[in-house]
Amino acid sequence: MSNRIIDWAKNNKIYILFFFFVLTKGLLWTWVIPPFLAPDELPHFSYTQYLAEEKEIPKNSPGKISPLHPTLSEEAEKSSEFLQHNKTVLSLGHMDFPENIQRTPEGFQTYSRNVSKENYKNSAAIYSPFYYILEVIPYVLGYNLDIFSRLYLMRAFSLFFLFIALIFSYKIALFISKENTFALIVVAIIALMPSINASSFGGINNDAALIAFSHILLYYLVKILDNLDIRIWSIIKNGILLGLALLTKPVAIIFIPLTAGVFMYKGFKKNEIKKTALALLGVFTIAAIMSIVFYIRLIDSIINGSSNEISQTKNIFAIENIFLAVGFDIIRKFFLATSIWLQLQFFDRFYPFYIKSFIFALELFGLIGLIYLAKNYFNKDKDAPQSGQSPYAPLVLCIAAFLLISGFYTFLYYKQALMSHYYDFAWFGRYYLPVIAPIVIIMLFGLKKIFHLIKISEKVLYIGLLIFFLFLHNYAFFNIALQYNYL
Amino acid sequence: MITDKNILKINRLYTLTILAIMISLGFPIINFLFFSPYYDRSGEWLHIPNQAKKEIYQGNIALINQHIYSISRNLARITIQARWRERIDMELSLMNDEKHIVRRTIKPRIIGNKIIWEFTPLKDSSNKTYDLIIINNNQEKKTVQLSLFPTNDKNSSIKINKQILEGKSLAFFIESKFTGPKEKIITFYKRILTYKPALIQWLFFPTLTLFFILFIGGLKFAIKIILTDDEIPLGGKDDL
Repeated sequence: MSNRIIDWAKNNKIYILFFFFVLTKGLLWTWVIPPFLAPDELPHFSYTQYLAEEKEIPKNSPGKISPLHPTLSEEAEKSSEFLQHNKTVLSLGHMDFPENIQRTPEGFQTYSRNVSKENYKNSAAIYSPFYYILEVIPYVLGYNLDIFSRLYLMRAFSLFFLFIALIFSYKIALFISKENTFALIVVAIIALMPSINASSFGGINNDAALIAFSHILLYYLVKILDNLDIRIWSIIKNGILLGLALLTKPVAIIFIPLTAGVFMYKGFKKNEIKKTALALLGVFTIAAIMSIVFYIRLIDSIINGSSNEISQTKNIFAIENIFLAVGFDIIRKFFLATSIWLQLQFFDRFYPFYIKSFIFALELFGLIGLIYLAKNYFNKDKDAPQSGQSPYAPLVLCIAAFLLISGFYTFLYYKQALMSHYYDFAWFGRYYLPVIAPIVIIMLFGLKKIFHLIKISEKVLYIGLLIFFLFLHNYAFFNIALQYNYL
Repeated sequence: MITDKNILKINRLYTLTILAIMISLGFPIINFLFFSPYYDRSGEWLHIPNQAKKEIYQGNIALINQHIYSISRNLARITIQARWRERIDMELSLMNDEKHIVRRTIKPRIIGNKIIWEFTPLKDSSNKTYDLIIINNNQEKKTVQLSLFPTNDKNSSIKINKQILEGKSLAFFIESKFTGPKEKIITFYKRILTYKPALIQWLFFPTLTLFFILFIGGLKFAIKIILTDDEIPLGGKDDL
């Protein structure tokens, strides 16, 4: 038995090394971001505290809700004041560090943890309790500790979701490329991205569960492209996965058309349209049964909430209104092109120009490579017999996933921009992380194509990307996160 | 068996690993320690909601007076958001509580719409107030365009041509400067452990050390895997 374990460890040295590397790196990131300064962390912490202390799902009272000012327990209120949350949360500065620094704050054990239900407001309370129930586990494990210890314990729990996301990103990449090194590079890029470390898995945020379950679902969708299994168990499994993804965050609705597309594509291919449509109906029914209650709540809160004040503009389609919205959308997309990789609190702007330029160059060459791949596809002899699955189908799935999430946020952006003259929506790269494996895969396929065209070994590309993303990670950690949060 | 070919491969692996470590780990750490000496930024400009409430002021500006408060010692840089076309006609000075001019320049750096004034650090600037005075000597005074932010602090209101603009502050921020990497490391060491549970205080530096070890080991291993993977095409082959 012990020999078998040693053999396994010897054969899987890279995975073991990678596991401990991601773990230490992940812990450092959760420790380096100051408490409550990860994106929307205070509302997410408060939701979990409400569940644990009041033992019921929080419900918002009517009226305007601000993510900056959720209803807090006395304990959370005091710690937020102590950490100068209001001063630092939307700031390019950091909290004050007096000369005689008190390392561990005292007195926090005595404050009440109960949350007032009267006039309760929390921007996170529109979500289902799925993620927050899981976060109750570390909260309860650290129940006898002070709020800061509990917060760091809850953050560390996010790493569990990071590992799920990385494992399934690896599986997706391996399934598509059939190449182990390609899959390792994909997963290394994802693990090293500053946005992954600082935004979604560096704090308490339901994005962590969304990204993890999105990647599980994406893996099974890629597998369906290879072999559509419409037996009962398979339908139940896909239905549950879609339901769980929908329970994490509403943006997961992009997986409804994606699932439908994959099923129907296979149905057409196998000439089993009716059977496939019935299987799809089964998948959707299971997912709907699991999540519909929370979507009704969400729609209700959108209808009854006053956060979407409609502008007094007579015609929302007035030409100036459209021009302004389109202009801001172009700037937004330009900003997103780097923010997807670099988002780190509000400190994105402190990255040097050469890093941003290199990322733009990677994206541009990736896109050019994809255009060449598309050209290859359309030029090839369609009548030629094909053995097995077309290698293009999973790539199209990856592109579709990216376009769907992009379309979803673009729709919401234009709704807010045209109706409310609100242009600040969806500027954050972290919003795209639920489909980060597809994004990295398509970029890497595009870059591979370019390297084929210029006849340079892919080894150069892989080593170059590995060094760049390791550099990027360390630059973000030392020169952005540490520098701007503490100095 | 050690052959010439193997030795060449090993040399290539070690050279590449060392180069990769220098680029990906060495450069960020050296940059952190030696090339980013400014710290403790403060000022209305840094508060992001203020940036949406920015107001452009353009008029006959001869004299600007802005109250500033330094939270730490070694105040050494002031960055102002303004368009100033003729830099030669600008004079910036910093006056302390006792109305003495402690720093003065006529040659700040101008990058885009930023005026950056770097000066010899004011050692005893911690918790002290200063007046930033900007004199425009140009006859065509409309060459100046200032950005103003709202402020709740009465003392932070800007004076333009000796007139107070209530509730408006010049868009600026100030920074202090470390005297060297040793001071930076000491300050960093004190601050990184602040407001953290005892266990994290105890684990932080050992974990950072472990990260460095795993980083170097993992990088070497990853490069070896890529270099020795015979399935990776050498170029020119089209798999799609």
